[in-house]
Amino acid sequence: MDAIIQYDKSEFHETSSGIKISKKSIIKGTEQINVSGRCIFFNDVILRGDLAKVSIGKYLVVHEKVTLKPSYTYGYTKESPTKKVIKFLPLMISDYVEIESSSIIQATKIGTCTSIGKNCYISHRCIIGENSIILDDSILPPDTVVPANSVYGGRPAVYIAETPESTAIIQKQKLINFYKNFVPKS
Amino acid sequence: MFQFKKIAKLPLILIQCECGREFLQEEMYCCLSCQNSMCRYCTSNEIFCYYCRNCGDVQITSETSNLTVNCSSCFECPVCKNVLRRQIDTEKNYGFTCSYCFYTTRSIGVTDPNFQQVYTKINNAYKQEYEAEYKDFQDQYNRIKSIENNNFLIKKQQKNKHVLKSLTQSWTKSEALIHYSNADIDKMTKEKNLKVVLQRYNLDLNNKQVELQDFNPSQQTSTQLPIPLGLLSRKNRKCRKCQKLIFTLQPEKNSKKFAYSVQNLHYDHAPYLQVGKVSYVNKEKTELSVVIQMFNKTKNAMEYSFSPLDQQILEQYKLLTVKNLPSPTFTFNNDNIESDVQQYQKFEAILIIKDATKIQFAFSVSAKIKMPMDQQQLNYNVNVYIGTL
Repeated sequence: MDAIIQYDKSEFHETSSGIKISKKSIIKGTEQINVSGRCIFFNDVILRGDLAKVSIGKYLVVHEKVTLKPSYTYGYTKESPTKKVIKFLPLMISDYVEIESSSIIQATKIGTCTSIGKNCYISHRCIIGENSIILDDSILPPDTVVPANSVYGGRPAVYIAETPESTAIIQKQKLINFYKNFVPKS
Repeated sequence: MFQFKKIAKLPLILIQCECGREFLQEEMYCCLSCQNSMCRYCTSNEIFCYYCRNCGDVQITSETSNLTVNCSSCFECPVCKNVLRRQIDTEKNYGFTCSYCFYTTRSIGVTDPNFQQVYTKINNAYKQEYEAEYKDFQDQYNRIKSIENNNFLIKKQQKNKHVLKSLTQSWTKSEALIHYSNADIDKMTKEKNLKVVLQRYNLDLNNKQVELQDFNPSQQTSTQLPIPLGLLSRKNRKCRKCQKLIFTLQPEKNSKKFAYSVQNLHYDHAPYLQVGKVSYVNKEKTELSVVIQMFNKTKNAMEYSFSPLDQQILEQYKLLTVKNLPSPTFTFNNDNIESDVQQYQKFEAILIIKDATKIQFAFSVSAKIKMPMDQQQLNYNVNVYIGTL
């Protein structure tokens, strides 16, 4: 039995595809943001689409005070072929992802059915595989690759354990039920 | 392996294995031939492949003969255990650095304009430290390989029955065993380096306990060499009783995705249980009503039957008695499986509280499966944890 969470309709925008965004969140560059549907963004979420493309899958749940920011590299461009310049890379978040509160994410790719804990800092150019878990209060240094079905945690984050084969089922059920129980007050 | 029971919130439904451990419904496995659902500890593992967690290089055990213990191209920081990455100086010398602490191989003096030379320098530095042990290791490794090759030849010849027996008899008395008598072999087995030879496969990392500590990277210094990154493994699962495969991996040379060709979960063959409404019935708060919902998420129709526990067990462990169980058997079809509307059965049980807030009841499920077997049956115990209201 999952608890029903009721919200004020006046505090949230709701789109036709089922995306629920709180009015206290900051979203920039909506032209470059592509969301599949049925996502929830709580208060004080910062989503930077003005830097690079952001593509988000379905059933994403982003809790309070999370910043989603595309990562960057140093490289040459047509405008400056001799001098290195910051280039922003697109951010890709797959389906059935949950991001807990107060975490900062600058990864390039987050796989399906992953869960990221509270107060995490995921540095730039990180790649997180599917069905993986990142524990609370962990820091992933830049350029880390988290393989599929793994648990990472610590400062710096280190491989801790393997997840069972049914993590995808558990994560999907959890997020589908969370979305169903996130209901406006009558 | 990670357990989702630690994260799950009350009220909770857990399945009890024969060994006594409790797991979530999704984490249990199922052996159809034994007609039993089991936990991860009651299954045996068989290593399928080794892979590097950084570069994704995969070594499948059935395909390759020369398995390595460590990755050839990835290294680990000796200070913070983070994976190192390449670095180019202003002088165009290659080396390794850690992006978390400030460890570099330049401080040790391991840099080179040719990147492949950096690997040879690290390997040479390891050799100098462990030169004597490395020589002994090599000698004994070669000896054991020659023994294995001779034994392999003996077995091969014994298989060919048309070969005269005299040959095999002469081989047993021949030079191979004269050089390596039983006493020599016993000596070698006692020596320590053999353990390294026999342990060709890397030990899997057990569950580490991560503790947060104050770590200031600027204050850390190290003159150690970078550590070669150990390989991790993926495993197939087998039932311990009948040795049949429960989970098998597909051969893929990409560590970012692992697909299963055979998977038998308890979730796929049994009804899915969910706790609905929980409330007190009396003002005195001695009776509790729990609504349990059952979903059929399989492709087959099922027949359920409940069997409450014996009174002796209930009194021994001070468990709750369950009343108002449904009829002994009832069928649950899933004709509307394609539609989004989920059919479910629910029953309400009125309980009498004694001490704990734990309910335990046992029931069996019999499912009719089309192929290959006619009717399968699963028996298991279910524990429902409610918590305080």
